[in-house]
Amino acid sequence: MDVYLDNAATTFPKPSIVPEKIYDYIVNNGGTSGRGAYEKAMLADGLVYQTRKSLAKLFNHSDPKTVIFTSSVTESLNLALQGILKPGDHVVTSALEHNAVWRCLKTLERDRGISISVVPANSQGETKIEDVEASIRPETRLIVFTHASNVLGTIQPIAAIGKLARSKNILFLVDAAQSAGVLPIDVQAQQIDLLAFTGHKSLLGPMGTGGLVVNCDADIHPLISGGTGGDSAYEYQPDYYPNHLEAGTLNVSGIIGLGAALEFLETEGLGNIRRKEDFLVAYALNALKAIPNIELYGPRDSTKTVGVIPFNIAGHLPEEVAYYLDQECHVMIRSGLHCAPSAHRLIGTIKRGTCRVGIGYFNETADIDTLVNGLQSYLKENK
Amino acid sequence: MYLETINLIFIKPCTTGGGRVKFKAKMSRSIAELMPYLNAEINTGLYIPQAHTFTYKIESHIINIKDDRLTCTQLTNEAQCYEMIDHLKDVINDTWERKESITPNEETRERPSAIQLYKLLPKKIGCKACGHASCMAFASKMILGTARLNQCPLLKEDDYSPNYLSLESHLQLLGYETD
Repeated sequence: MDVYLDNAATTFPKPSIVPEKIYDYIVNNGGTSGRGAYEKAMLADGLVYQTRKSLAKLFNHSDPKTVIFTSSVTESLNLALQGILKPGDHVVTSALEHNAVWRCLKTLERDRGISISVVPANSQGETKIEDVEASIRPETRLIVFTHASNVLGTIQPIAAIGKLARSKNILFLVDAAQSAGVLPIDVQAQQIDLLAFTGHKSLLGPMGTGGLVVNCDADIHPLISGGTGGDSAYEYQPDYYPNHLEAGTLNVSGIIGLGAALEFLETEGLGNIRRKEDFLVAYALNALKAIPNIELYGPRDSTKTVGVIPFNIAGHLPEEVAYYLDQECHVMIRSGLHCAPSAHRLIGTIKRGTCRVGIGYFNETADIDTLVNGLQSYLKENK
Repeated sequence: MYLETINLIFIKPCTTGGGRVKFKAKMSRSIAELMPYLNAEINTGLYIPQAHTFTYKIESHIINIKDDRLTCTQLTNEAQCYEMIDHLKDVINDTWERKESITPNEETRERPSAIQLYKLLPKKIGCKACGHASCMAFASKMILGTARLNQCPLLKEDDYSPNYLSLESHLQLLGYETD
């Protein structure tokens, strides 16, 4: 049987209610959102609104209208960074960023004349709040931080950074790609101005869904312009939300699937999900220690990470280990740089990369046992 | 739950500028029996028992409820329509849950009068563009619901824009369509 351990890339499987609701919508409704003068389209529109409302509730955000849908967290991050930053602005960011943030910032540095400061982190991927504060300059417009590293799993001190940013009147953007749906996120208590999230990881929804929670009154220039279904005679994007930042037909089927996933999450309870993933991470860390010559990276402490365990086996290439596990043991893990080179610099794996186990809510201890047995077989055959 | 659903059945799109979206919605049941309680709770509302209508304002939005139907005006976009529907559903269900502690009120508060409407009309002597003999005659017909505000072409001119909005608000409070 296949063992899926790449949940940090995308979660699999999805709760059955997700494909069921998508199927029901496509087969029995099919109307578009915001464009219909008939009841079915308005029903579809209502389901989109309900998903906005569920997301607002999940993140303790007061206004569902400012939950913006995008196609991915990458688009959400681009929307926030490209839509806000102006020439001369300074940005503070972590040493763990995914290319979704890093390439966007570097492009703005080259093309728009922003400047970037990277806050140092230790080899476990931990950031000190004092180092964030020391990176702030008078012209700092925004702080962007990942909530949890996709390479090391390390959880960042989001609430402390939010408090610092608010006290200095600096916008705070959080990349919740690895945390939304597994760690508690409260945009009010954690003083998060902009929260970028994806629907297809721990929120357990389909790919092609993501969003940006706008918890501030910053002027955000739209990334795209086009039809919104209303005010059509007006020649520019309207200034009211969500239409200001959403143009074109929405991914209604995906959003309905995400709405179903959020129902599932609410029923299961975020606390229970986190507890199970914590338990599996602790179990896996313990089991992996038994592998000869294994190099485990990151905090190696389930309370400090999300369900990500990076490792190497000394003298072996990560892609060969992953290839063997897939072909011989039907165990799927990730290998390489995971689109986040700066995190690999911290742990000295920028050239070879790592293997990465991504644990999800639907994994069980038997999956970890299969992985560990697979690694032992690999070592027997590849001495 | 007293009221299970409120479903949008019609959105009149805004074509002239922001904030002019209207919607019609269908409730999962008639709430006529609840209207005296809503009337007691919302002391700026207009309850007309014979017609089974209850109308009130939330900021600039006029909400008109008749049996199992409701309309709402002055919205910006679909998201705001759904937000309003959620709010109205909460108001209705909350009033139902507390109705034992509410003294129902059957009174009809003062309705806008023909004179009030007349004062806001252009009063251009001998105009008759609306098809009525005078602005007073037009105002009287509007109060009865047998003439519509959009029959007066002068009101569409920019100078009369504030008057138009006031007239529209009065008439919508009575549950009438204005355009």
